[in-house]
Amino acid sequence: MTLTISDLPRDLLEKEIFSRIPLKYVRALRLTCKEWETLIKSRSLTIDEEESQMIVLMDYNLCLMSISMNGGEPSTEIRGKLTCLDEQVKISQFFHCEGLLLCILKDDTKVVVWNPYWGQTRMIQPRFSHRPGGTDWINYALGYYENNSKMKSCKFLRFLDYFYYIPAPTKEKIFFWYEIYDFDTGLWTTLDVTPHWRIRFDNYGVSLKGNTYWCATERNPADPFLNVDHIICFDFTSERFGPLLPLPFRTTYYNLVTLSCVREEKLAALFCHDGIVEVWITTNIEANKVSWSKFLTFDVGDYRISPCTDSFFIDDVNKVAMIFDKTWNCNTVTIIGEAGYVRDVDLGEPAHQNSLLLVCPYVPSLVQIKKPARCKRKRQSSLENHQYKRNMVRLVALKKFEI
Amino acid sequence: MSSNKIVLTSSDGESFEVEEVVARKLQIVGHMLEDDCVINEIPLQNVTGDILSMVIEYCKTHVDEEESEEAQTKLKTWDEEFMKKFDIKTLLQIILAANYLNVKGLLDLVSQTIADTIKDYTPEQIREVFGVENDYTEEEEAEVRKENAWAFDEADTPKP
Repeated sequence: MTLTISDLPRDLLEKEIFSRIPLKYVRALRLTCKEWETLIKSRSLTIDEEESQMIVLMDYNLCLMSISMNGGEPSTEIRGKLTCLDEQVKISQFFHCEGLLLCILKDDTKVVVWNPYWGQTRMIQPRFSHRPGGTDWINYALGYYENNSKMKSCKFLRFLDYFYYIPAPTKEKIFFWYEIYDFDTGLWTTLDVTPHWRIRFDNYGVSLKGNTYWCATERNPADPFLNVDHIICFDFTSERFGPLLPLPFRTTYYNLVTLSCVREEKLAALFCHDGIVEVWITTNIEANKVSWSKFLTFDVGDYRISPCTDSFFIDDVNKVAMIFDKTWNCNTVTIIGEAGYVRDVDLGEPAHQNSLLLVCPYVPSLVQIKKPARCKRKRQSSLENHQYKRNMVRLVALKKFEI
Repeated sequence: MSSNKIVLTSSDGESFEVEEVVARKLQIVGHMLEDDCVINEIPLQNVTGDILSMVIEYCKTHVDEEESEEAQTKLKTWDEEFMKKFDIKTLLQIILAANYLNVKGLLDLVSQTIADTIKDYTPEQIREVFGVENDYTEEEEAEVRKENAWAFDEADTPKP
């Protein structure tokens, strides 16, 4: 009798061999035989309750990180670097929506949509960019809507929305341009919106069930400072922003509020104030209504949590929050739990001072990234062309006033 | 204590006398020794002599793992050379043995070697090299292929 790979115990095959094969090579495995196909499909679709995965952006690179609970003691492990396009490509920001990533490249105005599970990518060249002094002022969001046959259609939103404070004799003090890209048609559409909200350009939206949420505040041209006291939802089905929704706590200018999502089911809000860290989770969330319940409270005491945290991760089963914090000399994950549990995990010294440290929960998805239908690619409408030209003229005029 | 000798016997009756520190690299043996310290002969049911000798060779080399970078590099090179000696069939036997005898380092090494081999192959090559039977019907295979189908939009593909 000859021993073949099919004679190996399933566990050995799956946990020791398949787990070591990078995602982009998995396609050949699936095509080899039915049993492997089943094994791989089940791997991607079951969430291991003992362990959750997240994607972390650190030093312009993405990596897969796992968190596991060993007898109540949470620990993190970097599983490996995720390579999009090629090793050299630097990613400055990323956004996640049900297994798909939208990556903003550092040295290129193009953006990439990527399914790391298949290794599929699609590059998109936006129509305009705005990066004064190397800082990208554009907000991004990835989402989808369900069409009549319950198929999810992916779209992405980007917008530039800001106030100028220029003494010069210009009438223009506000500029905004919201546009949406449809992956099916490959077309851009300028959204006809009059924002009643303000979202900071460095506020990262969180996608949940195809829609994206940001911290926001009411638009008030007289008040340049942003006191984040609400959240707002962009609904990818209606292509509209909803009303400002309340946060469960009172904020002032100096507080920090950050959003995250929990198992693609709920939204979480992290609130740091007066030496207290609060984490709230939604009990119900829709584009136009929200209710919250408190998840964790942590008294910082002498413990150091920096007030510039951009990102955090919630494990609601094990009741821990992991706060990703970057200072000039250290990338740290602070894990807080119930009854004052706290522990730091050192992720090393950042190689690039200006890079962001961002995290999102990750469950691999089998969704395919569509290739644009080249032969029947539609042309932009004349209305859209007109709006595009008008906005470009304004944008170019405004860029002159940049310092 | 390190001079203590242990005899390991394979399923086909071959015996290997090894130092206790080497035998302890086989965690299955380590556990037996902890349960009862007086054993000096251990029968190993699920592994043949030729495979056991490979496992022992690995354990002997890895018996005192030094921390120094130089020693680590040397071990790594040895591991690579060691793996090159085996064909796929032997690698599969070693992975089973490493799993049964619970030799973590060797299990990792063989698993990685097999994974690295698989990843460079097409489905047809995997089937041929690893002796996997293709149980897809033509229609089913076409369906899975379609589900996996992906072509870059050439115009958008980044230049290398």
